Amino acid sequence: MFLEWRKEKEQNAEHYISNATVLVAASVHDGIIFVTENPSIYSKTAEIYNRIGIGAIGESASFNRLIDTAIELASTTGLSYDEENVWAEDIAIMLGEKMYTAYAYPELVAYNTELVVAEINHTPETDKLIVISYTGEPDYRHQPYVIIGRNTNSLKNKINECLKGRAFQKLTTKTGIKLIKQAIRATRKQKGRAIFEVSVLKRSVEGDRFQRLEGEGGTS
Amino acid sequence: MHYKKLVEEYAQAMQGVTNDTKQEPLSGTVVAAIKYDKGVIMAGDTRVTLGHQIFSEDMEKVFAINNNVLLGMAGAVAAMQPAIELFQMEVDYFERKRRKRVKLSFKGQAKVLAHLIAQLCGSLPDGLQAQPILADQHTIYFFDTVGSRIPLKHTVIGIGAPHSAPYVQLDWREGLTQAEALKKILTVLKLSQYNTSVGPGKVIYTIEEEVKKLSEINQKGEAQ
Repeated sequence: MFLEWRKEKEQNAEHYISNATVLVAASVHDGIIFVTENPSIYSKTAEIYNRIGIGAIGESASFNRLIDTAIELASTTGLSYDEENVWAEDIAIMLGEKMYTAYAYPELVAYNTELVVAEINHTPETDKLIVISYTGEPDYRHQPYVIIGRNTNSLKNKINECLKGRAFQKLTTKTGIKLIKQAIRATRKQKGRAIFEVSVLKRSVEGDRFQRLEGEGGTS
Repeated sequence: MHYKKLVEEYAQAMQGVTNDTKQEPLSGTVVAAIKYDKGVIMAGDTRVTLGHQIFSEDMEKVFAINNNVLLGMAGAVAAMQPAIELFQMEVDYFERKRRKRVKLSFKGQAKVLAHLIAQLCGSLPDGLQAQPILADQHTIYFFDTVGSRIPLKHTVIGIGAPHSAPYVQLDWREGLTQAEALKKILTVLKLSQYNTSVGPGKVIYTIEEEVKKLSEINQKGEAQ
């Protein structure tokens, strides 16, 4: 049966996501970095819990609600158990379910957003980058870096070109950020100066790992 | 807020414990905080006891909360630990909800802690058997066990307080140097150790622009 409302929801979500600027999350030697273009005062990256960060694109009202829910879940889990017991998978499953429900039922308003939930561990090999599409489908594949957004092939090629055969896992935070920014600048369609939002989850720091480097609330 | 449910659960769980052991809070602790010209110095002992039994000699009772505030605690460990965890969570929750673009102000933190104490105190039959002090660069907040908060320049809490607090009070003045404050706080720790069952003081923190841990104190009671 052809579902008119579902098609509408898809179109709506695609509209928001394809118009959004892309977000790149990469797991490097000493952390996980989030880089995105963001001139607005709304943050597209946030801390969920000590080891977990999130990056989102699309409709800000959608992802703000989702991030708030994730923070609440992580805070209660972290208080009841421990920092180590707050997993990216838990957050991804909860967010996925929420987004799927909103997408699959005609009377609910869908979340027009795509997310990446990142968890930092001892080595880049054990880091997790979980992408969740607007349908609520999490992608658990292990990837050194992920790009969320639409029409990302040229950016992907540019990043691979800039990498020159090196792996993200060997790069430092600083070089990683520089590389991704360079690739975004080379492939962006918008005119004018690019304003970035850059956040990092640091690998070596105990406790509070999430830091904003650029953009609203950034320290440098 | 959602943490209120957790406070209630904790209070329910604690009810049985406190009903069975109706007694004065056993606090073999001393934690002192003194303001000096550039910041605040805070130190405490590290002994954990149950009656006459010593469980541990290295549990720290002074904590750095997000590297910009110092929290000292005296009292029952069972009351202390959940209070600190709830407080830390509440501060983090505030900052995460605002995407870590702002920090919870010191006055805000003091209010959160006071509310937390009042809530826990109201729901426990014997009140919260622990007492915190909170300090940033400029102010030391003293809390009683029912939730009032009082800004002070110097304070000593725990069982060592009656023996050592007058010494701090006697010749404290504005513009004390860090060295003088350190000397004072070491004397407080020594006096408490000589006169009560408080263990030797081991850790000293200072807070100026940010929290700094001074090196450990040696056997003679001198900071190294």
